[in-house]
Amino acid sequence: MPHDDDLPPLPSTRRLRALALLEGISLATLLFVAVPLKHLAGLPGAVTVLGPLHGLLFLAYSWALVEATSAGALRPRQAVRLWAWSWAPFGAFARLRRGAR
Amino acid sequence: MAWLPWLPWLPWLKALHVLCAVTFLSGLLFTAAVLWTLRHAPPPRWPQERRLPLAALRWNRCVTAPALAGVWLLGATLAHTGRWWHADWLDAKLVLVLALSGAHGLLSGWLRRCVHGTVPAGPPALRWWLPGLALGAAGVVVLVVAKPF
Repeated sequence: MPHDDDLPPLPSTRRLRALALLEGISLATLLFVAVPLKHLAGLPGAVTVLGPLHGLLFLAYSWALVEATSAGALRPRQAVRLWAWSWAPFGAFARLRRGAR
Repeated sequence: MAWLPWLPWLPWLKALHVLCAVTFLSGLLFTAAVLWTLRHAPPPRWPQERRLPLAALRWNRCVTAPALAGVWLLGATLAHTGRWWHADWLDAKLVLVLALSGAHGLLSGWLRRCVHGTVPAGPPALRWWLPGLALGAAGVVVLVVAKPF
């Protein structure tokens, strides 16, 4: 079959892993740094910044899961599991890393 | 009352948000239209047969997807600035924007498969996608402008 040199690649899990890592970092920072700062030290600023940031990263990760599934890089059941794992800090990233090995 | 430090920038934020929304929605409808056009086409084998889906994929990657990111980023900033998080019209709008964002993810994946020739036909129920997306976009506009509840 003729091949285009500049043909964009089918989505791999590399981008998904990067987004899962960022989402995991934001969730861990929110849960283990920002929330204690707010409730134990009375400093709500970190939650104000990190809360929406984590929300946007979670949306980006969810979007990437939908795209990778519809492009055939993931099966729907795998995508649902990876989405559920993203509710735990670094859960989805750990699953994706394990799957890549 | 609005969050004061952002107040002078509110009209500019709104203008940028509308610009991103128009760019995203037009790109989304364009992607659906390209998939509709190619629904009966055989998988592309030659570079010239890939020109249309490849151009649509590039536009999607370079323009539509960043516009979607802008929609969410600026929309969240606006909702925070205007203290609209508890407004019912915003809840309804969020549901529609989530559905449109998910539809964009699905169509992007299908388009990518279409370029690579790994999918023999267009996505299922493609005939309902264009009117459905147009209705969703119309719903967003009505909710934002009229704020009916």
